[in-house]
Amino acid sequence: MKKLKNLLLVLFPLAVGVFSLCVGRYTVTLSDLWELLSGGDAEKAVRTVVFNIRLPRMVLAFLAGGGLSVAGVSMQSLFFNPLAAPDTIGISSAASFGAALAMLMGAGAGGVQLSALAFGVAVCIPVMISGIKKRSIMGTVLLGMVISSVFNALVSAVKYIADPMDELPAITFWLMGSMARANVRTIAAGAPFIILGAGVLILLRWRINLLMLPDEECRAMGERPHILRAVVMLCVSLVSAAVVSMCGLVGWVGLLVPHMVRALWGADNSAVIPASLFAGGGMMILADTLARCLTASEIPLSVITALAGAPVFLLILGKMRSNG
Amino acid sequence: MDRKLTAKDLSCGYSDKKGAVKEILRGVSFELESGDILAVTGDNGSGKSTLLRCLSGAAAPLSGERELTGDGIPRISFVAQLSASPLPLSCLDAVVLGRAPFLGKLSSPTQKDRDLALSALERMGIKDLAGTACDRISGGEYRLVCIARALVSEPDLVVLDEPEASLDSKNRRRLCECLKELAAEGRIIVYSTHFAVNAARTASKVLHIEKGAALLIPPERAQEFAGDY
Repeated sequence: MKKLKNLLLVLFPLAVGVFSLCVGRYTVTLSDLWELLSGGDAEKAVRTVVFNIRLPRMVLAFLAGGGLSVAGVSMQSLFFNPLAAPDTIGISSAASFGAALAMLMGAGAGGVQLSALAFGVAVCIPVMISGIKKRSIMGTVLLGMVISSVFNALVSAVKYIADPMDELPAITFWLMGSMARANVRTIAAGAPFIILGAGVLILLRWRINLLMLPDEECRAMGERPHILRAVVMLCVSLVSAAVVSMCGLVGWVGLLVPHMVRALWGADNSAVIPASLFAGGGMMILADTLARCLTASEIPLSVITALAGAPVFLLILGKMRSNG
Repeated sequence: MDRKLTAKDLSCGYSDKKGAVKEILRGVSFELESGDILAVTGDNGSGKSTLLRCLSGAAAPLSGERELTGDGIPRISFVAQLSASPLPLSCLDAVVLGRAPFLGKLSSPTQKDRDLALSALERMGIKDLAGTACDRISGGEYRLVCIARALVSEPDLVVLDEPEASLDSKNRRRLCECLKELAAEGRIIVYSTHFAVNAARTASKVLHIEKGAALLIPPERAQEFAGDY
C-alpha cells in the first residue's frame, strides 16, 4: 500500500506534465509528443510549442511548486506552527521589492531576476544572524514580520511612482505570479538555488524533526538546534528568492501542499519532505496549465492557487477539527 | 562504564545581554557516581529547573564547575518539563528522535533504531501506542513517551525535570522502578520532584533547594524538608 502510494506520487507530476505539454491553444496529440520525444520527425510547430514554450514552463512550475512545498514543510517544523510558510521570514517580500525596483529602473528580464535574487538572499542574512544569536524562534518570526512589512511598503512606494501606463501594469502582473517568463536562461539563473536549497532540506529531512523538540533536549543530546535552524532558514531563503525571481509571487502552495501531504503520509518529515516535492511540483504544473488554458488570456498564477487553495485549506481545517 | 558527575560550588541563573546577572542558586556542590540517583526537591520557583539545565549542559553555570568524567564522550539525556505542545509525530517516531546522537547528520534511523525505540516504549508500558500520534494521547502518556526518548539515546547521565508530573500513581511507581533499573545499569540519574515520598524510596541522594541554597540531605529526611507528610 505504501509502495503504491509512493509510486502514484511520483507518477502524479509525470502525468500532469504530459497533460500540460499536450493541452493549450495549439493541441499536441500524444502521438505527436511521443514522436518528438523519441527523436522522430515531428512538425516544426509541435517542436517549437513543446520545447520553447511548454517544456520550460513545466520544468519551472515543477521546480517552483516542489521547492516552495519543501520549504513550507521545513518552515512549519522550524516554527512548530502549521500556519508558517516560506514567506514567513519576509524573503518573498524582499525579492518582490528587488524585482519591482529593477522594473522601475527599466532593467531587462535578466536584471529583474538578478535584483530579485540579490534582495531575497541579502535579507536572509540578518534573519539567520538573529536566529543564531538570539536563539529565539519568536524573535525570528517578529523580525520576519518587520522585514515583510517594510518591503511591502517599499513595493507600494515603487508602484506609486511607477508609470501607470507602462511600468505599473508590468509590476502588478509580475507580482501576481506567472510562468510565462520561463525560458532556458531564466531557469538556468534560478534553478541552481532551488536545487541547492531544496536538496539540502531533503538531505536533512529527518533531522528537521529535531527542531520540534525543546531546545534544552536537543542541546543535551549534543545537537546545536540554532545552527540547524539557521541552515534551514538559509535553504528556505534561497528557494523563496529564486522562485520569486523566476515567476513572481505564488502564494498558498508552500502552506497548503504540506498539509495535504501530511494527511496522507503522516507528520514525519522523512516522508513528508520528499513527498511534498512531487506533490507541490505536480500541483504547480496543474495550476500553470489551468492558468494558460482556462481563458483566452493568461490568468495570474496566484489567482488560481488562491482560488483553489482556500477551499481546500478549509476542508483540511474541517477534517483536523473533526479528528481533534 | 564508571562515570562521575561533580558539581563544585556551582552557581546558576541568568544573565541578560547587558550583562546583568540574576543568580537563582549558589554554592551547589555534590558528587555522583554511576548507579546514583539524585532527587532534587524544593518549592515551585526555587531553582530546580535552572539547576537541571545547568547539569545537563543545556545552560552554562554562572560560576563554579560541573564535570561529567569517565571513559569516552559522555552521553546526556534531558527530559524537559511538560509545557510544550506534544509533537505531531507518532509515538514511535517521537522516541526514535532520541537516536540522533548515533546517526550521521544526513542519515535517517534504521530498523535497529526503530526496534530500540519500540523496546523503550515497551519498557514504559506503552508499546501499543507506538503508531498513535502524540497529540492524540493523554499528557501522562506523552510524558512516558518523552522518557522513552531519553532512554533510547543510551545516556550516561539522565536528567529529568519533574518526570512524575501528570502521571497517575501506577505510572509514578513504574517510573520509579524504571529509574532504579537505569541506575542499576550504571547510569547517573538526576531528577526533580515534588513527591518527597517517592524520592525517599527511589533516590540514593536528595538535594533540597531553599532560598537560593542547596542542601544535600539523606533520602529518609526528604519528606521532612519538603514539608510533605
